[in-house]
Amino acid sequence: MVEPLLRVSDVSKSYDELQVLKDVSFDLLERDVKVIFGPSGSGKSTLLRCINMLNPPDKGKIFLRGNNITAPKVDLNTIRTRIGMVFQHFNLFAHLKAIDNVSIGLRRVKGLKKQEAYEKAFKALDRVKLTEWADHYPAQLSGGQQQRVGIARALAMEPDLILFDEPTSALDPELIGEVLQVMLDLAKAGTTMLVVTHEMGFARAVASELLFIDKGIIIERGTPEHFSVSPTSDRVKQFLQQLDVLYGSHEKLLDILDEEEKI
Amino acid sequence: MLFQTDLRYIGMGTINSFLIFLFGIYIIKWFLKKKNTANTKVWDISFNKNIRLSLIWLIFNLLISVSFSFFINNVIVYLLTQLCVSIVSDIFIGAIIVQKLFSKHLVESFKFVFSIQLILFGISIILGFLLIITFGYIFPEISDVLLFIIEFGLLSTIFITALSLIMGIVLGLTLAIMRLYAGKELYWLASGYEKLFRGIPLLVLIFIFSAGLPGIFWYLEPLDRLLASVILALGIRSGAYQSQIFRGAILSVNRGQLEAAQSIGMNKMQSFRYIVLPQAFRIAMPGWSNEYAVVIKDSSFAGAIGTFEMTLVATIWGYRSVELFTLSMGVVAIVYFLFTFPVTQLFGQQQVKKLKKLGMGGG
Repeated sequence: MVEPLLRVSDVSKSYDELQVLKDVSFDLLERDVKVIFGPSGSGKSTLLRCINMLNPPDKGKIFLRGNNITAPKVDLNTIRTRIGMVFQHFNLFAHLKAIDNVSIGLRRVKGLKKQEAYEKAFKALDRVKLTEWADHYPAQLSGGQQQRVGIARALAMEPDLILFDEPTSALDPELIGEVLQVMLDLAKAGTTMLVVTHEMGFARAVASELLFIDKGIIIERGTPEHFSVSPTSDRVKQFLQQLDVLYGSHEKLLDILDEEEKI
Repeated sequence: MLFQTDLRYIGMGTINSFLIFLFGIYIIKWFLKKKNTANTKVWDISFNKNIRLSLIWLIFNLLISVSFSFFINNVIVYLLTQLCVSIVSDIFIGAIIVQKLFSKHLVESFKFVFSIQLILFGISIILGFLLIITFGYIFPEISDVLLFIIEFGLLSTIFITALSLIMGIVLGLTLAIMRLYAGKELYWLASGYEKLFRGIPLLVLIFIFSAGLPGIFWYLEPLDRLLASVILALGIRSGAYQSQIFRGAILSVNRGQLEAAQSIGMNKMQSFRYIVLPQAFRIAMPGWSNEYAVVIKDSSFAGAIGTFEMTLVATIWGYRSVELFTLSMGVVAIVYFLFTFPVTQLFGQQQVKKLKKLGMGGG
């Protein structure tokens, strides 16, 4: 049997009284793309932050290439260089140009020389098609460009896998396309990705498995076809229908508005 | 005599050169703006280079005016000679600058600079005569008290301010870090320090360290002891205020950036050093320039225990007769203002604009 790149087993996490994750388990193979979706407040982001150990889980274990990263004496900083993370609100370093945003990790964490780090950073920026904007500060870039710099920053560290925390949900609809295109290219090039998103088109195109999370529990899992043809639980059906109304057919939205007016 | 010179000449030459520099900068700025309105990037770069080169121009001008004041004792001859020599040298330097900036032909740039210098020549002759007439003949006391203050008080004031500010930065940054990152005991220590020293008048602090505890600088000369106690008092109080400035600045760096830094594998030290601190310094700049303005003005308290600085020197000059007191205080007020306003303008307003451009702090 192939050893999974990432194994999450029985992870639980609670903030004070509120239990956010309950015994979540799944595996992620090398060059695999999985998509997590679900209503807001369901614990999707917390799950990613547990995997990156930004918020260590209360219970359960996470294995990266067979090494338990939740064990007490693990060097988290080294682990984090192997797990890239792309944030919902980009979180670019405001005082650094795009190229420095991408190269600072290479220089300060991996200890590369400036020239070498710049070359690598340029390659990463090339993969997100932003080499022309290398000398711009984050505030001078559009949201889509900022998010692509964020992706390049994660890419430049050459991580084993990249976690995407709702990468498109803070963007204008017009800018979502460019970010999704970059993510599709990465997925096709064989990057291991774990993506929290509601972009079902993206999920259908590249994901091998979708996980639906609600109230901290994986309610249903399956291939994209499974979810588009025959989701079993009512909660998933309801959620997908809402997504379909918002992103899918225009007429349905009008119907709903009409109904609301009648009421 | 050959090397007998009047300090007044140097002062006038300096003011004259500085005014020429300012006029030149603004004319070139206006010209560049007219030429490069479409391409703002070129304009930015060329203006930055231009400022740097113009500073060399200014220094050159100053050297000329100062060196000539050693040889010529007649005011009018001096002024004319200085203008003639500086105009010739400025034209050559300016032509080279223009040629480098726009890669124009030497002849063309020579023409450009020459026409600017001709305008400047007229302006500076009028200014020069106005300066001579006002300070040389109508109010000779003004230049007297100005030179007296500059000679005996200015250096000391700058020295006190600089050292106190440096001490304040070190103290303030340490206290801010103690309050934000260290344990509970250190937090209480730091906030207690702030509350204590923000509640004691500066003059009381100065008297405590000089007369109250005369032994703390036993290894220094008696006069230096007074100076050291003033710097200590100013630095300690400034540290209490600066810790607030730095604490606010560190807190205003977006938390998400810290997480992003951790997510690429930086440890806490690294993310503080490379992500938080550079941004915090920039955000703190406007507040810090305000603190500079407070410290340089409060350095006048040093006169209270007999340390020589601008205020005390101006007071001594004014004691010669009662009418002169108004004059000396007026002049010293203007000197303080000249040392305060440009700095707060540069570090305050300009920095706020820059921060807005970067999308950090200040809106």
